[in-house]
Formats: sequence, C-alpha cells, structure tokens
Amino acid sequence: MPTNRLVVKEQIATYTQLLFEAARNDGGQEGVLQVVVQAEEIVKAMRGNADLDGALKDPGYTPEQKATLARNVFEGANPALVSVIALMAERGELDYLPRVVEGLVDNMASKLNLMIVDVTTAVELDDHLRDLIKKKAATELGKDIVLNERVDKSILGGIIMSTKDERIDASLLTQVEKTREALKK
Amino acid sequence: MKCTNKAAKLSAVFAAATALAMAVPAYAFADEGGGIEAILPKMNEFIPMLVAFIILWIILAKFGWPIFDGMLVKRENTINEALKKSEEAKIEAERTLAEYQKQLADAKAQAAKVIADAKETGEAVRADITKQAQDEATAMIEKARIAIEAEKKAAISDLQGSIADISVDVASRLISTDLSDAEHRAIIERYINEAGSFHAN
Repeated sequence: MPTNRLVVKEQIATYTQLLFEAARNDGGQEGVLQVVVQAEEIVKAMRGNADLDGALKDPGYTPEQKATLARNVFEGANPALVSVIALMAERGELDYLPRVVEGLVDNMASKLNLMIVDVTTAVELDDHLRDLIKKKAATELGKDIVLNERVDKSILGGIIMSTKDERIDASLLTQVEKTREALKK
Repeated sequence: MKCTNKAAKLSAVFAAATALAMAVPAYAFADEGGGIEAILPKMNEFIPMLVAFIILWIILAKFGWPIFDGMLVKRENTINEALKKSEEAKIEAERTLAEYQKQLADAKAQAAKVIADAKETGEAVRADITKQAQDEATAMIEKARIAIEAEKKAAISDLQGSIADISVDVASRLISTDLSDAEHRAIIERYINEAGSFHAN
C-alpha cells in the first residue's frame, strides 16, 4: 500500500470515479444512491466487526484469497461495489474505503445535485413526515434530498437528522440528557 | 637587739646611781632634836644628797633619758604606724566593703534584670505558644468546616444526581412506553418545525 499522500489521494479518486461511473451507468441516480448506502453499511460493518476487518486485511492470505473472501462476504450488494471492494482487498487498500464513500457522497452532491440525509427516529416515518423532512433539508441544503431512514428506539422519541457535515439532534434522548445535566447542576 | 642593749644600759645606770646613794653615809633619826628642826634637813645630809641627786639626775639625763625618749619615740612611731596601718586597713576595708556593696548591688540588679528578662521571655514564649495553639485550633476548625462543607456539597450533589437520574429514568420509561406511534410522529413533526438549521450545528 503506498504511503505518499498525493499518490493515495489519486488512488482514492480513481476508486471513487470508477465506482461512481459504474453505479451511474448501471442504475442512474438510484444506482449511485444504492451504492453509497450499501458502501456506508459495509464501512460500518467492517468497523463493528474486527474479525471481518482483520480477515480482509490479513497478510497471511494471498491477494486472490482476499478478493474471493470480499466477493463472498458482500455477495448480495451492488455488483460494481462488490467488484471495487474485491479489487481494493486484493491490492490491500481496503483502508481507503471510508474515504471512497466520502468521495461518492461528494460526487453525488456535485454531479447529481443529490444529498443523503440520515434520519433516525423511534418509530417509522410516514409519508407526511418524509415530505416535511425533505422540504426542510432541501430548503436549507439546496440539494435534492434522499432520506436514509433508521429506526432506533433508544433515542426515545423525536428525530436526528444528519448529513456528511451537519447534524440536527432533536431526539428526546438528548433532551432528557440535557435535563439530567441541568438537574445535577 | 638594739632595744635590749638600751635596756641593759639603763639598768646599769640605775645600778650605778643606787650604788652611789648607798655609798653616802646616812644619819639615824634618834639624834634629831624637837620642834621645827625635826622637819628641816641638816646641811651635812642635805648637801651630799643634793650632790647625789644632781649626779643621778645628770647621769639619768645623760644616759637614761635618751634611751627612754628613744623608746617613747619608737613606741610612738610604732603606735602611729599601727594607727596608720589600721586607718589604711579601715580605708581599704571600707573601699572593699563599698566595692562589695557595689558588686552586690550590681549582682542584685543583674539578677533582677535576668529575672525580668526571663519573665519577659517566658511571657513572650507563653504568648507565642498560646497564639500558635489558637492558630492551629483555628486552622483545624477551618479545615473541618471546609471538609464538612465539601462533604455536605458532595452529599447534596449526589442526592441531586440521584434524584435527577431517577426522575429522568422514570420520564424516559414513561416516554418510551406510554407514547403511541401517532404521538411520536406528532413530536417528530413539531421538532422538525422547531428544530434549528443544519448550518447552525
């Protein structure tokens, strides 16, 4: 794996461009969106699973074995994404994947005028709330908005909205914690 | 030694005069007549006695008196010297007495000063010890007060924390169990409308 910063940056840009074009050619805007969402899930999975992360980067495996392992693990994902991840695993460059995902999000925003907003709530959203959130985010961010919904009852209620750089935490959990801290003072 | 010689000479003079007087013949009073003649000296007796007396007086004046006078002078000198020495001794004694008295007075003054100094030092030490004890007691009391205050604050803080935790936990459970999906969605909608901007965070 190269250590020169400019070389690394070039390689990440190459992976990003390759994946973006492959996803767009394959499924258009929806394909890119699907790839970004799946790539983010894969990054989270690798961060949360040390065995998987270790196996894909294990120097004891040959590059071909790592590529095969990656294809088998992420078999159900977008084919273009699986191919790129297998290539990165084969070349021992899976550590670049989070930055590739960031590049995809940037490309999506700049080239497709599209932005993903992660929305976490304690209950499923209905269409009315989805429209409301999209309008608010589109107005403020100036992009077409795609919601990446997630239900998490631990936030108790309310809503957490976040993009790559911004975040609105209007969850009841945060309100409760603020109240707890205020009561303790 | 010289004095002994003079005494011997004086004795010799007396002996010679006595011998001379003894050598002159004396008349018996049985031949004396009555009346005034009984008390008047007879010339044949008076003249030899006068001569003997004069000779004795001359001898005594010539040899005895100087010795006697010398003895008197010596005695006088001795007495005077003794008196002088006595006077000097007296003066010396008085001087020594005065000196002793002065030394005694000095010693008394010094002793008084030492006692006064010791008393003063003792008072100062006592005052220092008292002040130090008071300071230490004050510091201990202040430390104890601060410790008690800290413990009190910690206890109150713990109590507040416990109350806050319990209250918030109860509220959390109530929220999570009592709110329906519709109520949750109503809250979400209100928060979306009231929540701040993305750019504000």
